[in-house]
Amino acid sequence: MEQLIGFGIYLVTVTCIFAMLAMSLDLQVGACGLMNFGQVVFMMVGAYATAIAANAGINPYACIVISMAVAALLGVVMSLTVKNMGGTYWGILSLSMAELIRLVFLNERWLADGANGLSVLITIPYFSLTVVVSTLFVILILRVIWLSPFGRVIRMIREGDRLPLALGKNVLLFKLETMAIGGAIGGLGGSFYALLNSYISPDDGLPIETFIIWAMVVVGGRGNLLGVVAGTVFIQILFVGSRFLTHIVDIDAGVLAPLRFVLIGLLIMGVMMFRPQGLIPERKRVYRI
Amino acid sequence: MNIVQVLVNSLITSAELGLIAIGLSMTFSILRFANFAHVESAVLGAYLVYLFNVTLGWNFALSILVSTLILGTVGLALHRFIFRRFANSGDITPMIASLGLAITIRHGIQAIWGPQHVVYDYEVLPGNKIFGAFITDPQIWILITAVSAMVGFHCLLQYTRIGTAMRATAANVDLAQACSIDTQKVILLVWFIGTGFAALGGILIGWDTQVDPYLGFNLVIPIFCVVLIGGVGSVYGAIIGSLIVGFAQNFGLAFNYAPLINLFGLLDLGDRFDLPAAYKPAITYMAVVLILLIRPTGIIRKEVS
Amino acid sequence: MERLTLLRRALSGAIIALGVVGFASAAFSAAKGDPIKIGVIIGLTGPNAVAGNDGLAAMQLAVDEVNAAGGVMGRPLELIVEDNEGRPKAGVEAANKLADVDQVPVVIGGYSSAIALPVGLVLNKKKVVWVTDATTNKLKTVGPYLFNTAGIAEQAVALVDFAKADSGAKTLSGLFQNNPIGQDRAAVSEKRAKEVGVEWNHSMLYQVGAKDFRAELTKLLAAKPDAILTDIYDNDAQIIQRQLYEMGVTEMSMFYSYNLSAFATLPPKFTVGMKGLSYATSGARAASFNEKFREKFGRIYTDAWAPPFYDAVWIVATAMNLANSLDSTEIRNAMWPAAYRYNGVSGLGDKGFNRWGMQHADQNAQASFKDGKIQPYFVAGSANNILIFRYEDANGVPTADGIPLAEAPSEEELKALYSGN
Repeated sequence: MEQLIGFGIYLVTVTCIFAMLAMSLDLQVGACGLMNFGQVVFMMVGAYATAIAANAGINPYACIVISMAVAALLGVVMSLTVKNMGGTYWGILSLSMAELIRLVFLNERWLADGANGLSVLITIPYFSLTVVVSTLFVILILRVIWLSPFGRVIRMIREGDRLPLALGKNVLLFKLETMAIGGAIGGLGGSFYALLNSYISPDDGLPIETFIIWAMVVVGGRGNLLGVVAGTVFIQILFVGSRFLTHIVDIDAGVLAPLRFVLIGLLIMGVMMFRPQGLIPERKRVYRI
Repeated sequence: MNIVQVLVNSLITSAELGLIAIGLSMTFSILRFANFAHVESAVLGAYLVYLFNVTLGWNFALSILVSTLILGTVGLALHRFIFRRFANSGDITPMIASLGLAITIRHGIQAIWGPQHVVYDYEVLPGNKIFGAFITDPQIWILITAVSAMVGFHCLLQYTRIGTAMRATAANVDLAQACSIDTQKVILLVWFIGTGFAALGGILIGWDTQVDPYLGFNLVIPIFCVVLIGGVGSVYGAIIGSLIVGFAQNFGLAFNYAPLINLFGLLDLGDRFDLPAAYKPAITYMAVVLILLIRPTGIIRKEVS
Repeated sequence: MERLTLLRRALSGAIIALGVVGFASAAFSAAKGDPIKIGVIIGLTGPNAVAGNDGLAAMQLAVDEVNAAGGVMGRPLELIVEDNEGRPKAGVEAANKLADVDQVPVVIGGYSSAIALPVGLVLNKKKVVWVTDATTNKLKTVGPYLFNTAGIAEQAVALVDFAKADSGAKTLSGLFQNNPIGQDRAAVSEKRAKEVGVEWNHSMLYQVGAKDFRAELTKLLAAKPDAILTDIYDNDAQIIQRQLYEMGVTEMSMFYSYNLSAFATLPPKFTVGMKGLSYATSGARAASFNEKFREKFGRIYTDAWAPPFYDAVWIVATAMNLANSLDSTEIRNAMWPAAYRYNGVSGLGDKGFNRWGMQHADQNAQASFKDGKIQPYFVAGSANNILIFRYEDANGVPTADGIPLAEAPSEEELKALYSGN
């Protein structure tokens, strides 16, 4: 029983971490319309920052702050390339930047032991509780941002640059700030990821992870924090829950494993077909000017 | 270094990327979402040829023809049963749906045919020697197909009524409809040609290398890079994009950067500075970053008229 | 060298004798009762799917045999198989599930080091035995519940010596995967080459799963090395051999492979004269394993790491019988004596663990392809085709890492070993 509770705690922790990554992406995509196809890079860089800082003997809490700062800085650098680039164009550009960073971590053995990755040997007390509380805090912050004047402007930017420009808003600055906040949250998630697994390697930053985070946001309902969290839980249940399903069916494991993914793919597609705006869609507000 | 061989390798790489990129670029501009399942159709087509050619023992050319037509029809079915309902849901929802579809197709293939690679009933021979470089028959066919596709798509888009309708739909659906263009018909045609042509690309790549369930998964990102470097919706863009990536990948690795690093004789830091092969995938991404920073909508700008 | 050979012979004779005893003691009657479950985490989908499925098949073969020979404590053994999807995150999820929900005392699997490492960290924390085939040197640092049934990279230096002795090569190049094992292979090979006075051109690290290796191969051949070391797996093998062949390389005798079995299913003309190390043709039981695998699955495995997975199941079953308990720490302590007694199908069959739970020695046979089949290969003027790596000092005396332990190290010793972490 104790072990089952342990598994529950693990699942809650990992879901919270990915909820943070998904909410960070939602701030960029759902609120500001920035199609970031390189989202996983925030997690990877955050995790590596924690690993490198921890191995240098820095206090665990300071490691977390360093991770957030490094990832926020990366967000700023990435935002400098946005300019007036169209959605998918910047999407593939951000993916390219993420992959370039991953390839540096993969190939430079002096930096972080290359493909072998780094072990993270520190822990913090009440780790899972810290993650859950941080997630709630992130939800709160993002809710405040959403309702703030800043949130209104970035949602305006989502619908196109012209109107905010006409209102005299510095669109690029808003995008930069959005990416910095998104990066910091992603870095926080990455730092927790490294602490959870005690390990980080370039394989944790493969593009497939970005697309899974994207699926969490879109399946849940972009532009709605509750929806994004629901989407994260849904995808997490798809991936973990389907492992239990495989015990019920008695066929060869080599065939069952791909069939599990067929099911996952069909369910993602099914949600999109029958709930195109996600499980819990964004509530549109009407502002009277 | 055999420079002719590097040149030939570059052309083959470009043609292989271009084969799938042309179709993707065209469908992208008309369907208006990033279809991740496009490349998986290529793999499905390649496996169908395996089924016909090896399992059932059909003639190779006939297998290719039937498989391409089947995949074209599959494209119609995908539109009818899945993607049609996303007409008013923006570009993100169908993109994630196509991601789910891609996962389904890829693993469905693995469940049926297993993870091991399969090859067609074809005797591999050392390549033909041309100016000191080797090029094989499948590779010549890939080059021919890529060039004919380029010419074919160009003629289709420029000189036929349906091509004009396609360009109009790509530019502005509402305006096209207002000009009494049957945009639904155009979209159906795009699905048929796009998916069928993807299958042809997958078959040829499979013929030149091998067919395995992850053929598409490993190609999808480079091909999207090619399409966006070139500029969505432009056949020439896709060709130029694939040439850039193909040449950069092969020459980038073959080149000795020593003169550059030594500032052409000013410094003497060593006589060999090669790009490590481990950075070969980085070449494509560097190309994307550099080109999109200079030209944010790709090399060929989409004509809005 | 003379002295070493004698030592090898004496040791392998003793191992075979011990192995027979170990085998006979297990042969009671068919297993009955509730099955005893152990976990498997392996890549059944994703980039390592071919190797993963081969490894799983080998494990299932071993489970059938264990059960026919009386099972574990008289009960049948059963595998709970989890797919690691080629993603570290999925591997860790599976590890948590197996340890906490299924509550298995032992998990076997790994293959990809980037997944085997975090999984090992989780399982060590939960005191679950983790038996892996991954090959990165870093495995040593994970913890006392980790065992490795295949040689780790630092042990596999034999190929450099083989290539030098066989071809008299003065310059070598490498073609390896760009992942933990490939990077380790590159570093270890380069270091060894320098030690034995061979010039190392460069290591080509290629992207797993790519379809176009012509740029890498053109550059590899243009440097004109005397011999090329390769470490190629899964579906990459066919494409690389085919593209070499199409570039006019119709005779492969300059290629020396760490993983010869990857080419076992290719058309014979792709492997003419290719040489390398074979991990499963050297032991006394290897031939019968290959035969049994073919009989059960109707194909041959293409991954050299399938035989050590088979061994892993047998060692775990033997350890459980020795411990006569399902407590993971007691099973762990029985892993050393179990492997010490067991005669395996990989290497020479000598699977003894050193104090780290790694193999105390790495044993390979020199082999070459003839008509598409792997045959033993003898360097001209030598009657021995077995290469053994041992941890030893300058006088040829095995160091602590080179000694297979017949009993588990004490808790204090283990604590001291990993205290550096």
